[in-house]
Amino acid sequence: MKPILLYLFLVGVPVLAVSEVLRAGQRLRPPVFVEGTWMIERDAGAEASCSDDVISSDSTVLTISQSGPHLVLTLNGRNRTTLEGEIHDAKITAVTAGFASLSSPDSQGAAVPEIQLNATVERTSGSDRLLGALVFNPCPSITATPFSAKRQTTGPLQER
Amino acid sequence: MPQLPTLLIQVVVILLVARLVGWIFRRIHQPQVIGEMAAGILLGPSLLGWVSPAISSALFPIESLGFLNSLSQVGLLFFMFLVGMELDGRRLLERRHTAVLTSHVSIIFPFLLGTLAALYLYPRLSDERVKFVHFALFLGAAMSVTAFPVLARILTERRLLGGEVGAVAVACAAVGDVTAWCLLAAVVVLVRAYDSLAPLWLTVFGSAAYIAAMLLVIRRVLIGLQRMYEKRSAITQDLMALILLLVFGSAWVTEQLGIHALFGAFLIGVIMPKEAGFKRALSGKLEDLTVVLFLPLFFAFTGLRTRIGLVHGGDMWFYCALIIAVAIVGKFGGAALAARLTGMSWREAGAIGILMNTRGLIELVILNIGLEIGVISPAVFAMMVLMALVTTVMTAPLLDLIYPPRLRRRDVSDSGAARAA
Repeated sequence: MKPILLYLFLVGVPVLAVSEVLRAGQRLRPPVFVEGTWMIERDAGAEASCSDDVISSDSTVLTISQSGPHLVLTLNGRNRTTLEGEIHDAKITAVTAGFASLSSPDSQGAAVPEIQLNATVERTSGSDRLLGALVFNPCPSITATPFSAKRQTTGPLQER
Repeated sequence: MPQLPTLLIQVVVILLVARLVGWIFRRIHQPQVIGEMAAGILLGPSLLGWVSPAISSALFPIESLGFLNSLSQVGLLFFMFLVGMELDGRRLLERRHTAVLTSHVSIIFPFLLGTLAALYLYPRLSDERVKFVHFALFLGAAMSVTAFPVLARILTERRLLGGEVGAVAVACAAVGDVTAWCLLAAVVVLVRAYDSLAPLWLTVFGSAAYIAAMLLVIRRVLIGLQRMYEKRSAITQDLMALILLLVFGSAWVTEQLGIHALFGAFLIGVIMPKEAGFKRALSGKLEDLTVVLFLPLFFAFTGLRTRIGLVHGGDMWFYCALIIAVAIVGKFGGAALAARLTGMSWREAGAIGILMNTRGLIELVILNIGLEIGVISPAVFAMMVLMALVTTVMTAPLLDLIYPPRLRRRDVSDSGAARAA
């Protein structure tokens, strides 16, 4: 009898606890999913500015990798710019973490321009969009470049 | 692009690095397999890709990884078949009371702690694609694994197999393996059913029907194969071909059913006849190629997916430390407590806890499945690979500390005397 009681206590009780934990977890809200490739389009009215090396005048690919709210964003414009940031609710904020000139590889080690990205995820039926602006500091001509981006593909985990 | 030369160079480099790091680990009294796991990480973006991105991308171009993955997956099918073959029901029956309680407690404790940790980690490391239930169940299953093959190797090297502690540990790990794979199969079915059009009931009833067919029909066929072996006293090429057909066929069916190809290979290994000569002959044909060639390829592929750089910043290292702590406390604590309550001394119970805490490459297999089905992110994958390495590396030195050689010798001689009496 003792082994059965022991089994019920040591195994049965934790099983019940697991089911309670699973129920409690249903209330948690995870971060919005933004991982994948996005195509950035600079707003038509935006002036030529410090952003020219970061996002091209035609279109630039923005790649986002995500771990919970933590994001790593890579802009593949004339130069490759890496930003690190977070997403809370539907708002993304990120700042420069690395910069590499694709046209002149010798520029590695050059001063990293300070760029801040602020964007909001907009959900419409069928497609997701990012609406936001890149803020350059210092920039003599213009400080913020508005942009929008359309999701191209989701991250590798979804492509199954 | 010529793919074959690339693949051949990859295999050569992987084998060289795996043997070298494995040899270094043997010199520091660690099983070779842990060194091979570490070698995989060294070849990935965490070291080679970080130190020399140019060499890394030349050696492992992205377009070539599909070939490497396919080769390593075939090797994993062989490996899971061999793991299944090592499970012997008769051994479990001898110690069913201790083994069933200890192994089930050593599964449910880390499972519970894993799901509790998921409450904290889910909003911080997951996203809206993944349901909480899937994330929590996977984390629980991944925490509760024991690496049966690594455990068996450690017990053999430490000459513990003949003693009470070794016998209980092997029996617990065997029960634990079957239970953990069933849990993981359930998680995979749940996640895939959520994403696919195939109804859940079809997968569940299909799997149940398949397992029943394996136990009632295929098992008899396998006994017939064993008789063929006994007639010739050798595994002929025709017989080997039949066995391989069954392994790959079973893997294909379970993959189609929505569980995973590895379950099929494992299942056919479990129901293989366990007659010593037949088992030895069959293992002899497959083991060397699997262990020496295919497993290092799998470790390398896992290493290429492991980006330890994703674990950066105080927050992420804290989550990583939490995962490692939960895994150790749950597995070690659960197994040791249950072993103590079934009558073992504290030292013996502690040894059981340490042995059951070994996760090794079975954990890597499970983590790769989690990453493939999208239930964990690359950052969580990297953290859990570190957890697998830490829990495996700590086994041998902690075992020597808590259960020193003089106690092991006494345990083995007492068990031998008891058997003789």
